[in-house]
This record gives sequence, C-alpha cells and structure tokens, in this order.
Amino acid sequence: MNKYGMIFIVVISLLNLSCDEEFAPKLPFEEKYFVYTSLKGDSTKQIIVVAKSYDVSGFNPQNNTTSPEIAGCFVEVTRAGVKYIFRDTLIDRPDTSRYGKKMPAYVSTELIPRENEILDLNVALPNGKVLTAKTAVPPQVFIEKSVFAIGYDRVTSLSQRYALQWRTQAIYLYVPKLEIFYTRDDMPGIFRIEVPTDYLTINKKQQIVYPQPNSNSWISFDYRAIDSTMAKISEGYDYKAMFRILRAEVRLLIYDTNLAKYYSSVNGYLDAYSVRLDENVFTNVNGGLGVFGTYMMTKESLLFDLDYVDSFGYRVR
Amino acid sequence: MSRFLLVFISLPFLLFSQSTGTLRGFITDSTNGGSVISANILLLGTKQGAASDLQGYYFIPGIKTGKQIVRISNIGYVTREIEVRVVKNTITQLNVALVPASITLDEVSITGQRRPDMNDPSISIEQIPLQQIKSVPAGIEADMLRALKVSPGVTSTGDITARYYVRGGGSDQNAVVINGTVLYNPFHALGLFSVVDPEMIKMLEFYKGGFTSEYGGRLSSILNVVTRDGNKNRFMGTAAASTMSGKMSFEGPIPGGSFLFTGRKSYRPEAVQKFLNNRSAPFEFYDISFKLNYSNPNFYENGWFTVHGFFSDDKIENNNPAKEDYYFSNANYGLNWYQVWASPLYSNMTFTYSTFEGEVVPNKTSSKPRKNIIADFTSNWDFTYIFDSRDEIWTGFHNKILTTELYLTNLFGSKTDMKQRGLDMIGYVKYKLLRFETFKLDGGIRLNLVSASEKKPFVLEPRLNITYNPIPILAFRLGIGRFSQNLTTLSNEEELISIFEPWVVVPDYLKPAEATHFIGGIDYYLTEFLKLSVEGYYKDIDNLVDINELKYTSLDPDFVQADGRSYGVDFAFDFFLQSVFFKGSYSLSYSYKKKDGVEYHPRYDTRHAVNLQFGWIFWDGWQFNAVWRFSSGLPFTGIAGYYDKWNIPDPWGQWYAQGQYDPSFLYGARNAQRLPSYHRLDISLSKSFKIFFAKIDLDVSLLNVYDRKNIFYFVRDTGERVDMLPFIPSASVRIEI
Repeated sequence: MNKYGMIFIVVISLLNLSCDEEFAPKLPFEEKYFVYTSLKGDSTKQIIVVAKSYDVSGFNPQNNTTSPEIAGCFVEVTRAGVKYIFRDTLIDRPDTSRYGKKMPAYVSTELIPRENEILDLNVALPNGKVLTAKTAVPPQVFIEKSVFAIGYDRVTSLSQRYALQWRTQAIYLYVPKLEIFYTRDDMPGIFRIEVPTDYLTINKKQQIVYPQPNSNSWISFDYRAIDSTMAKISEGYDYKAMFRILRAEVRLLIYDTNLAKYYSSVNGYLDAYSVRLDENVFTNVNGGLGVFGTYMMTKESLLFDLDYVDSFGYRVR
Repeated sequence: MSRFLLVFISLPFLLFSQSTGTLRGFITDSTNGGSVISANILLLGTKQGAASDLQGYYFIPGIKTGKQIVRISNIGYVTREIEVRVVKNTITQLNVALVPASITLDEVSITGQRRPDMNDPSISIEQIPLQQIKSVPAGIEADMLRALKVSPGVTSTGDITARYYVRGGGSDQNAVVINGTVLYNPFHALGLFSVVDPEMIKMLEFYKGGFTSEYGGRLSSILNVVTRDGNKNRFMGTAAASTMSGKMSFEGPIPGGSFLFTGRKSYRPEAVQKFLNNRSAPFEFYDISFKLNYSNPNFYENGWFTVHGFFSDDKIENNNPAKEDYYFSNANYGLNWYQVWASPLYSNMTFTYSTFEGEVVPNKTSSKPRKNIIADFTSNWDFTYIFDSRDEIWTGFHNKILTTELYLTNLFGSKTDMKQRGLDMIGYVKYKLLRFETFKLDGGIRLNLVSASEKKPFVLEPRLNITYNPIPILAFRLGIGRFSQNLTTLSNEEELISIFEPWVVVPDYLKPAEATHFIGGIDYYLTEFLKLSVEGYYKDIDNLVDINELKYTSLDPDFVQADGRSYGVDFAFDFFLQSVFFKGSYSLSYSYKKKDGVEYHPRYDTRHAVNLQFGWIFWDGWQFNAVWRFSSGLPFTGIAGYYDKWNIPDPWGQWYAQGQYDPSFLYGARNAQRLPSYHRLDISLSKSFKIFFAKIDLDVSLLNVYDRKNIFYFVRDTGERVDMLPFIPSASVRIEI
C-alpha cells in the first residue's frame, strides 16, 4: 500500500470516529396518575383535574393529541367528617392547540375552605387505583401599612417606597396585588388599574415589574411606579379633574404549604449560565403525582393622601 | 496538656544518639538557584541514598565515616559525582547545583537512577512537573486542572468545565493547596480554567487517595501546587498572550533570596464562546501572585523564609438590569519558615490567611441573590526527625480558624442564612520505617482534637502505607486510611454547569463526612525507561453531606446525609526518555451514592477510561504533543413518558385548576442510562527559538482534531443533543527575556 492509501485510510478512520453515536434516552413507558387542584378560600365553586401520563413517538410531547385527563373517577373531599362529592363535568380548556375545547374535570359548588382546616382528598380511578392527599387551609393575615395614606410620605420617605407587611409563617407563599379604583366623568362605572412595584429602564426601554409570588412577608412599591400609574389614569386627557380617585385596594393570596411548595418547584429559575438536568416537582399525592392545595385571600382598602391626589389634578370626592 | 505535648515532641530527640556521620544539603538548579525536587542522591558503593524534597533538601544519616563518592542525578540535569569526607558524629553539609542538560536525542542519561519513587512508602501519588502540564495541548491556554484529566482515576463531566472527580469522589472532596494555603475557588471564567497561572508552578503533587497523616481535610484528593522560587542568579521576565488573555512574570535575585511576580488578565472573553455553546459571557478575570524567598545565615542559619500571596478576581457584568451579575474573588497570603536544625531535625511552619467571596447579584431578573464568604486562618507546625537508621518520625499541629457565611435564596425561593465559625485543631504523628531495603512503612494517626463541625468534634484518622520491594525494579504497595471532611459545597450534582458553589462548614444537625480508603498496587520497571503500574482501590464514604434537592421552603434543611462507595482499578504505563515520552492508562471504576434509601450512580461515574499521551522534542526546539482520551458514557436519567404539568402563570386567573398545562417528562430510575462514549484527540506543535536575547515560544494547539461529536447532555423537551467542544484551533506566544 502506498502512502496515499495509508493517508486515505487514516482520514476515513478519523471521519468515522467523528460521527455522533445514536442513543436512546427514552425508557419503556410508565403510566402514572396526577391530581391538580387548588381549592379557593373565597368561592364555593371548586375544580379538581385528574390526568395520566402519555407517550409519543419521538421527543415532542406536543404531538400528543389524546386528552390526558381522566373522566369517570370518584372524587371526594372530606372536611371535619363531612364528605363533599365532586361530580363529573367539562370545563373550558385554556389551550386548545392539542386537544378539544373542553376538558374533563370534577366540580363541587358546596365546599368553601375555612382557615386552618384539614382537608382530605380521595380519588378512585376507573381502573381501581386510588390517589389520596391531605392539606391544611392557610390562615388569613392582617395587612399593615407603612403610612396611613398612599402619598403621605411621597417627599419625606427615605426609601421612596410605599410598603405593606403582614404577620407570617415562612411555609406560606404570598401573591400581592395593588390596584387603584377610580371613576371618570365621561364614562359610567368604576375603573381599576394595577400598580407595579417598579418601572425600570432597560436598554432605553421601559419595563414594568409586577409583584411575583414569594415568601416575603412584605411588599413595597416604588413611588415612581405609583406616580406613573396615577399619571396613566389620565393619559391623553388635559382635563384631569374629570377623574376621581376612590381608593386603592391590596389583595393578598396566601398559598398553603403544599401549593407553595408545588408553585416553587415548577417556577424555579436558576441563572443564565448554569445547566441543570433534572427538576424535582413537589407532590403531596399518595399513589400518584400532582398537588392538592388550597389558598385564602385577604383584601384591604387603602386611603390616598389628599394632597398627593391633588398633585395630579384629580378629585377625591 | 502543654507539658505532655512538649514531652511528646521531644521524645524522639531525647532518644537520639549518633555513632556514624550524616550528610545533608540542598540541591539547586545552577541557572536560577531554584530547588530541584526529587533529585536522586546516592552514595556510590552503598545502598544508601535519599531523594530531595520540595525544598530541594536531602538528609542521609548513618553513613560510614571517611571518604565517600556522592552521585547526584535528576531527569533533565547533568549527573554530578562529588567526593565528600564524612566525619563521625558530625553532620556534613553538601549543597549541590545541578546543571540542566541540553535536550537532544544523544544526551539521554538517566541510567543508574535509583528510582526514588520505588522506595517511598507512599501510594497513589503523582508528581506532575510544569513541563508535563505544558505538554497537554492547550484549550486556549495551558492549564493545570485540565492536565490532571489525563491522570488515571480522574474523570470529568465534560470539556466545558475544569472540575474534576477522583476515584468516584465528588468534586468538593478535592483540595487545591497552593504554598500550604487552601484555594477555595480554583476556577476562572465559569469553571473553564484554573486560576493558577502555569507560569508560577514548579510542580504539582497529586495525592489521589491514601494520603499520609500530614494531609487531611478532604475525602478524595489533595492537589499540592508547588510554586517556583524566582531566579536567584539574574533578573528575567516573560510576557505571553493567548487568544483569551495576556500575562507577564518578573523574577530575580534579592539580597539573600529571590522574588517572583506573575500576573494575568483576560481581554477577549469571546475566545471561550465555543466552550459555552456559543453563548456570550462578558467575563473578566485577573490573577496576581508574588513570592519572596529569604535565607541568610547571619539572620538565621539554615532557615529559609517565604512570603507569598495570591489574588484572583472574576466577574461577569452584563450592564443590564435584566441579567444577573457575578463576582468571585480569592485572596491568599502566607508565610513559611523552613528550618534545618543542628540535630537531624527539620521543621516547616506555615501561617496562611485565605479568603473567598462569591456573589450573584440578580438585579431585576428572576434569579436569586446569593453570597458566600470564607475566611480561613491556618497555622501549621510540622517537624521531621531522621534517625541514624534512616527511619523518620513526623509530627505536627495544624490549627484552622474558619468562618463561612452563606446568604442565598434557592431557586424555589427558600432562604438560607448560615454564618458559622469554627476551630479545627489537629495533631498528627507518624513513623516512617525506612531502615530496610525491601520493606518500607509509613504509619500514623491524625487526630482532630477540636473540629469546626460541632456534631463530631473528635475524629481519629489512622493511616498506614506499606511498600515491599523484593527486587529494586518491583514494588508492591498497600494503603489504608480513614479521612474526614467538615467543609462541603452547597452544589447540586444535577447541575452540569454550576456557576455558584458555596462552601460551608457542615451544619450542626449533620455529621461530617468520613471515608475509608483501601488501596493496593504494584509498580514495575520493565526497563529503565518503562514503568508499569496497577492500583486497585475501594473507597467507602459515610455521612456524605449532600444538597437537599427537596428543599422547597426555608424550613426544610439545606443538606441531607448520604452514603457513597467506589471501587476500581487503574493500569498505567510510563515511557520516558529526555526527548520523548509516551504515557497511557486504563481505568475501570464503579461509584455509587445512596440517598433516601436509593442507590444510584452519580453523574461523574465513568466505567472505562483510556488516556494516551505522547510528547516528542525534535529538531532544533520543536515539540509535538498529542493526547487522546476515551471514556465510556456518563450516566443520565431516561424519559419514562410525558405528562402535562400544571403551571400557575397567572395566580389571579379565573379558575386555578384550569391554569396552564405544559408538557413535561417523567423520569425513569435516576442515572440508570448511559450517554454515548466520549473520545477526543488533541495535538499541539510548539517551537522555541532565540532572537537576540529573547527566548520565544510559539504554540499552536488543535482541540478535538477529528471533530468528534461528544454529547454533553440532551434537552429532554426536544430530544435535541448538546455537544461538547467542536474542533478548535488556538495559538499562544510567550517571550522570555
């Protein structure tokens, strides 16, 4: 063999080595069952969804077009010895890109969770499998204000922020929302606008930051964000006095421990550079996966400082 | 207590009596005055001899009085023979300067070497000189941690990171020690490179297990970075540039000693984009080191003082509130006092202060704020006494005042505030039985009198290493030891690239990790130039401190306890001439971790690994190096199906259970599957030449020559594979004046 033949063999060998190898990251399919619910402390209408895992050819789960929700289950929630049977129903599906417009679910219109109660869930699947779960309804909280009226310390506040806080235990997750209620003379009804915590300027573009669920027992709003929201109410109108500010209202969702853990586990964010392989999604469902949780809502009306409102040209009364 | 310690230290000296003569001294390099490590000092016509230590010091007791011929040899130096007169009951000082051999094919002269490594009762130790680090084709720059990866028993989870795993142990079970100071963050630029500039390195001592009583604090390995002293004969400087950074060094004599200063700074972060799958990371880093040596008989006879410092800083500043910023810095200071006393006693006293600070500033992203601060003040007092019989007794006291602070919110929003301060007080004593030609023993105990970890303040660590040489070219070795570690990192092994791995003292509610090593091995010189080695090991780890992957609230513990074990065998051959070397190894290993009652293979478990390394110095300053590495596939967790995961994108939505359902995947058994195997060929060609008074080194490296598609991980959502480094050329230039 001449030297060109040798070089040819070496090059072909190296090219062969460079090829990527096929491998199969998929295992034999396992059927598992899921329960999802968050019972609302401020409503009588409660919904529970029961679903199962599925498989697709290839790696794109978007190719699955068979609805994974399971109908025909026996679903029951027990509170202090009283059983609430959930009935089969169809609810609107938020995303209809893969499945139909309706999705099977279970509904009750009689159960209102009360603070600090223990609730038990029992789900019997049509194939005889049983899923159970237990959760404790979170308590209501009392919201305290940094000053009695929004805008009272607009000039004097060192932090330039309006703050709210509440007594807490760390195992809960809180979702605050601050809204301003107002009327306008040219239209009937009461209008509302949500107040962000911050207005940021990033790459010369304004970005609005709204409160996110977290375990902090406080929230603060940059006065510049409140100013901007107040100004936005009359944006495009010269006659400011046609707007009348009624009040502000803060609402606070309090997730129970199980819902808080579940939310945290599906909404975790690492950083821009780390690469993580697995995630550990929380579950409190025995015999399956998913979450059985509850939440409560607290709301509190907040006053505005008259001079502060007046500085925008709005009326108060 | 203090009286007891005094008697304890003095006992061997009180028992000491001399009836023969003794020879001792320092072996240095004639060109720069630096110490020559592992030089072979042999008394011709006898079987007596010694090897120089890290300071170039040697000591040969029990020598027959009268005229003796001493042969001093070392690879890369011209062998010298010196006549010396040994006087009864007297210590004769013989300092020798070795002249470096010019490296040509005709001047291979290591015949007659006494193979000091065969006589030492240590096991699983590898000495890696600077030349060997530079002989590994550079991934942009020569790097000591990347050079470790060709060592048998060392594995990695990818090209992207310089993080390494030794014989089945986790990455935080390895210590990097520079001049006696622990370096807590040895990585630059997201873990891509070591912070230690090769320009400051003289040699690496790499203990892969079974380390003797003077070493501790880690379960798996100790990497001891021995730095250069600086030229004692003339001033000189170097300047070098790669596609990523520029660096310089300056060294020279000072009255009674020498100094060395090195500095490196990044200037082109785009150079590493291919390491990050073409993601840009606007990182900047620098590192600075200095070392001053001073030895003056008028000030302190036979005393040698060293003051050294090392500083490194890394940052990623995006200048964009929508992105996180990162800051990492090391600062180490130290003072060493090496003293050869009038009796056959020498001591090494070290005072070091080492700090690390790392911080992630989330700005206005959804990332979480994280901060870690470490302050470590260490004082080590080590004494070695050498008997006439050549036996040695070593003793020492190591004290460490350690403060760790950790403030973070994990990705689930749970907060951790840990501030711990602890004191480690460690005493050790060991006896090296060296009197027999065919049997050597190093046995001792290391005692944690007070531990920074509160759960187990008193830890006893017995160590025993034995070497049996039935013939001079064959050594059977055995090592058994107990090791403990009370510092750990809060890292998740499922994070293939983890930018923030904070160190903390093991919290009070957990026991510190402990490991037992059992190692057996054989070294055999098939010829003068070819050494074969085989080592088998079993490592059992109790109370492994592992991150709590199920921490969803601040009330959940940050750590949980796990167990681990690993075993395997490393085969290696080492062919070495002055102008050519060829090294190879094969490792078979198994490692397991047991957590919550489930045993699984950790991410770095590599069943088979092959390393081949070739170096050839040829024709007028040209050098060719090649490294080929193969490892069987790393474990991963397979997909057992899919499900629609309920997300809560809008907590204020009308009906919670309707929310948003996004497809997700079901995991199979943890790490039960294997990725495809990994292999890669790297080559480099370098040329050294002189222009007037400057020596110039040019280097061109080609990484992944045949562009092997080595999988790093696959994206489960899409099945898309993400590969490691493609074919990458790089070049560097170094000028020495």
